[in-house]
Amino acid sequence: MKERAAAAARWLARTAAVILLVLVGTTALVRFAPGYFSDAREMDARYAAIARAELSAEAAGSRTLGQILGAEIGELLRGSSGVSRQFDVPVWELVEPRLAVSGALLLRGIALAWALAVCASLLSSAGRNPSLLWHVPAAILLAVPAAALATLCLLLNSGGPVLVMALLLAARDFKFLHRALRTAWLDPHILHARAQGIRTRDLLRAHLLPALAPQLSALASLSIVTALSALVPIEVIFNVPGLGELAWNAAINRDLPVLLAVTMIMAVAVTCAGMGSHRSATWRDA
Amino acid sequence: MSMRVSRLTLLAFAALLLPMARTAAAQAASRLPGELVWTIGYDPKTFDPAKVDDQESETVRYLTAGVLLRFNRLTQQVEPELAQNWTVSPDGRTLRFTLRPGLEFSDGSSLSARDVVWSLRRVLLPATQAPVADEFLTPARVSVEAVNDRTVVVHLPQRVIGIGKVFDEIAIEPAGRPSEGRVTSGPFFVNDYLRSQYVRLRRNPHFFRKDATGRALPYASGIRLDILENTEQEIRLFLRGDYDLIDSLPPDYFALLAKRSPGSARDLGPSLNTEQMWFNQSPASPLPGWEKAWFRSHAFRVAVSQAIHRDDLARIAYDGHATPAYSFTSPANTVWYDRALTAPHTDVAAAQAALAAAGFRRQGSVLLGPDGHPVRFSILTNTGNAARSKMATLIQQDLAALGMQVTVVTLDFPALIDRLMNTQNYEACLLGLENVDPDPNAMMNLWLSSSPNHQWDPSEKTPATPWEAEIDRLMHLQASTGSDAIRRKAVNRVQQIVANEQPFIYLVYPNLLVAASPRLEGVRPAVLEPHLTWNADSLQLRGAQ
Repeated sequence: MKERAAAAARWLARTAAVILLVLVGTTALVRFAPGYFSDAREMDARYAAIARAELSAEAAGSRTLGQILGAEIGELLRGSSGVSRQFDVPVWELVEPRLAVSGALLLRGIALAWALAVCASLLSSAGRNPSLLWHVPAAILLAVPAAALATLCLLLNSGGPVLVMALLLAARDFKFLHRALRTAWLDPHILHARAQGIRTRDLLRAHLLPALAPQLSALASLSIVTALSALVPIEVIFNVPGLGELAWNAAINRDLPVLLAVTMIMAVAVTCAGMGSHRSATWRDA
Repeated sequence: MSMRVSRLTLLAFAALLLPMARTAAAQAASRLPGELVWTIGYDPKTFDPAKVDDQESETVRYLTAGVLLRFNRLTQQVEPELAQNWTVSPDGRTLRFTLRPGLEFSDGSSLSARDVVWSLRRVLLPATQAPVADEFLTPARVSVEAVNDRTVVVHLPQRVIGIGKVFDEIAIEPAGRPSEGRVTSGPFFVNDYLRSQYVRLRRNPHFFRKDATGRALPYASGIRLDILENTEQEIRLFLRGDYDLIDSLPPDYFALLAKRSPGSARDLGPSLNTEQMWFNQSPASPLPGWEKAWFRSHAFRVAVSQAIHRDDLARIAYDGHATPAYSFTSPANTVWYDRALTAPHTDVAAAQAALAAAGFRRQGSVLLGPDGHPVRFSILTNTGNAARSKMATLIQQDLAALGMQVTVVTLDFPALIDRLMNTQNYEACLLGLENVDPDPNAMMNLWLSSSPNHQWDPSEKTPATPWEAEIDRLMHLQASTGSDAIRRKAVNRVQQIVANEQPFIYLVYPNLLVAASPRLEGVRPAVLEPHLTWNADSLQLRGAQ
């Protein structure tokens, strides 16, 4: 019990440290980025005066990095996410509807990627010779950046964000799954079992999957991290109203409160994925 | 289990999952019967018509607000809207509006002079912080009163040039019930808004206007404004029939659209907008003294202007969809364009001679300034505008013929504005100016030397040169006189001074490129914004009831 509590405390401390780093890094990058105290409306005759008045008020209240961080952390501790500079609405109002959109995209992308990767790996590793049919497309997809693949889909007028996300992840997952399955498939006890006529599905359930569980768990965490990193270009290019697009617009418009919220969500998601992987490995070892 | 069956099973499993990938991105909602659909670039900041301070909020206001007077984008004339008629006293200080009989808001409640007075007073109140209030010059001293149920009188402390157009921006709302566009007296009202996805407007069944046959307007049952910033997506969805129009098309997409959907893409000729470059002449800039001296040199600026091949800019950077520019007034501005204007045209030999006379000299392929420093500078422009980047590159080549070494630097907009407005740490800049109003009065903040938007030398305490002082005087004159002839003479003189002095080196007038679905009826493109939707109440899809 004590060990579990200690482990949970360690994880919490690690997560808090990551979030603090994210807060400091994001605040420093955005607050001191060129153009923080500027507004495109300054160039528009109709809105220049009001834009300048707003900027002056904000600049008058400008503080040091430490003060800004203190204020942001204070807001978080009070359960508030702050107010968007760009839209002048509470950040949570912007983030909440987008969580579901990005979450759905991630879940569908990861599910499809795993389905494709598992099918391809089983077909490829179970055959006598690894087939170029599977490896060549995987190698190509590994070399293509997410933005390039998304743009290609757009230009060809086919596919969508889920497909792009799935293909990118499937290529990475396939690379590891194929290697793991190939090795496991050729283990002497599996070969013996196969020679005795044990059905493939029983082999998978009773031998292969339990043996591969820690690796699959680690791969699942990696999938989540990879998917999160691909979220911004995919959502921006396909105009998906999710967190990635919000982060992009916030960066373009120097919207610090929104960027902080999004990067913190991403940081928590990554640490949770890491914890999930760690827990499954721990359970198996136990 | 045979391997063949296993493979078939796996492939079938994967095939079953593939439909998951068919996500129709950007298609936020399905089209309702009779609904028109197009895009706006970002979420409107507000639906309160009094507080509009960004372009997309302005779009929603234009479509929903009932106004006393409407500035007709096609004829460029102010016309009565909710007001049946209006008069201005000879001294320009008293305006009398008579409302149409039987006006109603979208919720069926009646609209009277009381609502008009309340709406105008709300806009004028400092607490409202309505940007349009500044157009009254001294809003605190403006008084509004209702003479009877249908008559409203506005007293101004002084004449305001173009006062009619100001009322085009003031929505008449129900007295004491501001509704953020939910209850309007315009053709549509805000029905639904899903952040980052769409704004849905519904037809106002009580809108006063009828067509020539007596049919109630607007024709369309509603408008859905999808929030979409990605031009490729917008064009893809337009070609698929999901969108009915594109109000402003970048030149690099025009040919593509014209090829794939013949008849839908239209080039309407020069717009009111200008593309120009200028040199930083601010004494406060951190540039070395010799560079400031070049940029303040009249001969230097004129030589640069003469070295630029504007025809090539229009032909290459805009695929022919632009017109060479020499003034801030476009030929599309039929009222104020000065055909007698003389400006330095392309003449590289004359440019070289002018530079030599001003003390610049060539050393091989490099031009040296009078102080012996090689003439090197960078041109800033913003990222994400392909035509602008191409123009900067072409200008780089043109100026190389004079021996000037130019570097092109692209920055994102906030960083660029920071350099222009705050640090003033730049040498030259290439940007465009979007003119939404053909009246030169709208450019006051650009030409007055004291203005922060006086880009080449912002916020001068006193005019730095005699010609800037003359521009100040002429702009104040045209803003205060009631005589059209005096205004025209003053504005023409300003145009000539700018052409002579070249503080802005005008490059091209980008053509106005739009796209409208062949199914869309009632389209009458205008040079003023909104180009295709200014008559939204008369637009409808063919066959829609």
